[in-house]
Amino acid sequence: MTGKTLHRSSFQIMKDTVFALFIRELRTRFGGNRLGYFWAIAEPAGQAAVFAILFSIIGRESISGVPVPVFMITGMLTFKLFTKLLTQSANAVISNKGLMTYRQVEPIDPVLTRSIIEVTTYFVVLAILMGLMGWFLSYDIFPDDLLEFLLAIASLASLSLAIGMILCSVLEFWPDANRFLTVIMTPLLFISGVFYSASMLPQQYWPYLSWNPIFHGLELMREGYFSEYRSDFADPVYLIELNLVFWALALSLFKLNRPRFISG
Amino acid sequence: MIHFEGLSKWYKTKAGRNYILKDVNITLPMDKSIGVLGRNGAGKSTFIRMLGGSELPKSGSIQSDLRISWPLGLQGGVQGQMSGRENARFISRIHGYSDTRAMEDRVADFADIGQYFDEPMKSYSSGMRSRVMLGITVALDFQFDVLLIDEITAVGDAAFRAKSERVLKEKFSSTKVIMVNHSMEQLRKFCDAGLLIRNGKLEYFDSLEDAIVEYES
Repeated sequence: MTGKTLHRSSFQIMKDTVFALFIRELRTRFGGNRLGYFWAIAEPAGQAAVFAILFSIIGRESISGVPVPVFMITGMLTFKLFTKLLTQSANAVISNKGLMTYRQVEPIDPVLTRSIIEVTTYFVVLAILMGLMGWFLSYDIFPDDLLEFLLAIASLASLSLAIGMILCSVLEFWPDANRFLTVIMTPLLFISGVFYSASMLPQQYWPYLSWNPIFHGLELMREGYFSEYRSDFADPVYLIELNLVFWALALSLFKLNRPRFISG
Repeated sequence: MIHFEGLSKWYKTKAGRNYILKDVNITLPMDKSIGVLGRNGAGKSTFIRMLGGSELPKSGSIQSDLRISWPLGLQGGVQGQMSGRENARFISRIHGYSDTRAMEDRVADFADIGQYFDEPMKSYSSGMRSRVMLGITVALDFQFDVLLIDEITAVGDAAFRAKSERVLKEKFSSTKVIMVNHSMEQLRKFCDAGLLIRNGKLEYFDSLEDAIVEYES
């Protein structure tokens, strides 16, 4: 027998629990059929390819100095990171409710597990797709300003997670919120600068889109990734402010609803 | 010892709050196994689930240095969509065991339900469920000071009941049980002390027989 662990620290218990949830989650998400892993890469690649081809047809080779395929892939993957992390964390508590029977499993554990999975998937898929681009089309694929790139991803992902955690509470009282979520996610794809840059839009329309944090995040992400890309639209302070507001709300609601998450 | 401090638990009903427990202050010594008595709906299962951390009290707290199991009951306690094997793995992992293969084998061995071990547990009969649940605690080597048992030893065939009685009695010196069961005969088999849930209060009796007399009066 290995490891009869009688006295574990809270942190050790959390680690064990997140690991157990992680394995379980991978099994249900990708397991069963190996195609699960394939789709994780093929889906965003396919979507990016469609837009890349569309833009090539109208004769565009680059957007703000960035080659079209690379522009599409970074935009699409980062947008997907935001929406997937949001919906996955929003449903983390409700779909793992049965497991809260065990006192080792705290409501935050499945949220954390899913965040780890989504963020890891993002970087793995990005590395694979950009690697392929570099290999076949010989683009320069490494982020020019790694730190700025990572900061943009971090602020976008953390905002998505905060909104997801708020939705954990909302879903307790109103399970139909999920339908609402699907309805608003689709138009977001078109107003977040996934397949165009802010500089392609007339400046007079910027105020109508500048409330959208995903747009800011994507612009910042591209600024970090491509040194030739400049954005007058993106405002990192706005993203940080939103983060602070949403995290304050997320943490208080999560704490407040903990008994409901566990017993309800 | 398990210490209850100002513990209240209620459910919302149309007629207002239905108190299961109201401002309970009591200490259970846990030197003996305890049989829990109470009418239907008195809150026996809720009580067990609160002890196991599956449900939180509305106010007050439960304090203990003992290692208390999760509630082994006919409802909950395992995930229906997961197979017996997956449940065994999951529970082993959250209890800090890394070598789950050995655990699975021990559970499979104890449960003895053949290929059903790899089927979703929602397809199990209550007897099969109980076999797997008890099998998991056996595989965890009874690292618990207190085992919470809600009816599961009462179902299943004679062979399983004999087996569960044997393993529980074997561990009696180190692992006590807190048990809910509608059969007095079952309670007498496993428990020496009694706990009566009545009118939102807990009454502890050092002797199970006294508790039964009080309950039936």
